[in-house]
Amino acid sequence: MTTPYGPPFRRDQFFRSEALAGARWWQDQLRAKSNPVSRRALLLTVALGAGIVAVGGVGVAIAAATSDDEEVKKEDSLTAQKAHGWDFGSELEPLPFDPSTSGSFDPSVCSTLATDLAPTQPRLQPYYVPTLFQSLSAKPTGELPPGAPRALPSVMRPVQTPEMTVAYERGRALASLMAAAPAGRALLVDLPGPEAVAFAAGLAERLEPVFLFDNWPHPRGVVASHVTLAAAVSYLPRFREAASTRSPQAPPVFVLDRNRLNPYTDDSEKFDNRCLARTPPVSGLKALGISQLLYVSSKAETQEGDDVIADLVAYSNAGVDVKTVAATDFRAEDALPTPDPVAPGARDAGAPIAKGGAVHAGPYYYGGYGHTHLAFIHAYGWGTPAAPFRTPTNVSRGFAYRPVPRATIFSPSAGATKSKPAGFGQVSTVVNRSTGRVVGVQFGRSGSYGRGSSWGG
Amino acid sequence: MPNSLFAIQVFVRIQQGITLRSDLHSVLSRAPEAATYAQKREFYQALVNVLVPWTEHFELGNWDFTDDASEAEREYESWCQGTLDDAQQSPPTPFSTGYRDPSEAYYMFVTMVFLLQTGSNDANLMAHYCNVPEFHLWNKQTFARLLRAIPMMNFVHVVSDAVYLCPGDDMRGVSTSELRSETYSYLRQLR
Repeated sequence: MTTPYGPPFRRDQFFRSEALAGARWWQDQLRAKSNPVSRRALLLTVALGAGIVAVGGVGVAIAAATSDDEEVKKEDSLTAQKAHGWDFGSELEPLPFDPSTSGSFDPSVCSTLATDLAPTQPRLQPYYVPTLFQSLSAKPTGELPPGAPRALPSVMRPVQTPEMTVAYERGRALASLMAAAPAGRALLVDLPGPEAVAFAAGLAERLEPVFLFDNWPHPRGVVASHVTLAAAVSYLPRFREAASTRSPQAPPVFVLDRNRLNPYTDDSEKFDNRCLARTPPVSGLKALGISQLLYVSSKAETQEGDDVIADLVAYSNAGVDVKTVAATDFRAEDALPTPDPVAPGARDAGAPIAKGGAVHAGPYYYGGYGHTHLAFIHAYGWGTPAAPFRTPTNVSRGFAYRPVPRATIFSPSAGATKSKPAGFGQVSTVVNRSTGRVVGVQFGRSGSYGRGSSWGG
Repeated sequence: MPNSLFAIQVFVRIQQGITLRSDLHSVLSRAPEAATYAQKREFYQALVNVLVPWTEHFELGNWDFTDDASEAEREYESWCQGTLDDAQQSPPTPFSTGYRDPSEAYYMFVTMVFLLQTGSNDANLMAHYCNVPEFHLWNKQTFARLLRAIPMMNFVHVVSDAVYLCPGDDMRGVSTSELRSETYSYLRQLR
């Protein structure tokens, strides 16, 4: 704070022993009112510090001084986090993991995650966006409050959800088809972060992941990218193993977090850590020799991301065959609501037994059956499958997709394929007018400050 | 000016995989030396965010609200000093040596105590939430509701506040034998 009086609460006890941790504070003004001696002492202090102040006006004077001495500025959220710490403005708040998650991170993986998950093929490396992975080891570049920020690895948890398990199996199912893919195929996966990571892990045996995660986690983040980060660490052994056995010329799978555009209202108590998809340019796809791009989304009905549609149209206009496929097109055989009436001998002997509500561990198939799986090859124009197949009726029609331009809030401005609307991915920082120092974050219009401690000013 | 008291304490069994103690400790270790009203709300919001998801694990506890001025100030000291005395004079049992009595369970507890100006918005808010039918006094969900109310205070009329976490490390806990002693006889079994 910047007043001569300081914050109203002062700590008089602080314990960090083996037996006890704790703290106690007193609000001096109120303590004085219940204690005549202290009240006199406070009056003296106030009079000496400010010259003239009636006791009843103390609070007003403090508020006015604070208000006059500070101003609010909009700043890019990621830039602010890089300068002041990943948890800038919410240094006391935990990351909102599901309470059932437990365990701790192996700190040794945190410092090298960004390089461990980088593409091994030099031709793919220019398109890699390691921003999220770098958050684990980044050091703030700006002035910091005392004791801040927390080390991000110390508050992370490993994550493995049923949705991730399913996404991994779906990725594996698609990977099994890639053996039949002609040259020039690539994927653009656009699923909720943890599932996108798991899907990529399932694909990693045959495709090289190129992650495009361009934000940092925050305790109040609009995008729960800490869970995506945790998922990446959870699947790190799988990514490493796959990289050691994968073809050195494997086609790429570009991986996006669909939650990057989560809805957000300006007056919420959230930190706007949203970001735009940094997809490869048309020239990049052409240089990589990509002739067909499969855009993988959650459901058949799901539209392309608002910040991606212009890219898909541009790819298509440049001669790249852009198709979509829904992740839900890949199912466990027993996960189907109504079994397909097929000849008994046609069922895959390895399919799991249905157990109500349980996660199906696989195998997963395009259309949900072993005999429909290879229909994908035919539907997406990859050739004629080596074995007989049946065309499924319960899949999306992504094979017939063509990107159609549509206006979005990210529609391109002159010279760019997409543009950020005003306020997108920005945070309101509170700046001391006198010193120019950033002293905190203002969440929403209500003006509730987030300050980790008394600093700056 | 007369003061009111609000205090709450919950006990949770220490088990593998429960990170509550370390998570609370992480928040507590960043307790600011000096704090604004907004910082107080944030601090308690952070504690409540950690604590409330474990409501079903609350096994024992107690809470109290009084607007009797003389009782409130005496009780405030009693809660603060009592917690310190319990931890310092009969510290929780260490089990870092590798021996844990299999017949014993071990517990952690957290205590929050507030001295509030009687009749203020803060005191009225807590009085409202503490108006609990007798049948629900010792429900786990009642404790969760009271905890959630704490960061709703604006803290302008909080005279003093304290929070304590026991034990302070992962190598000890309050054993069931200790809980059966006179020291902890005020605790209620929560349902």
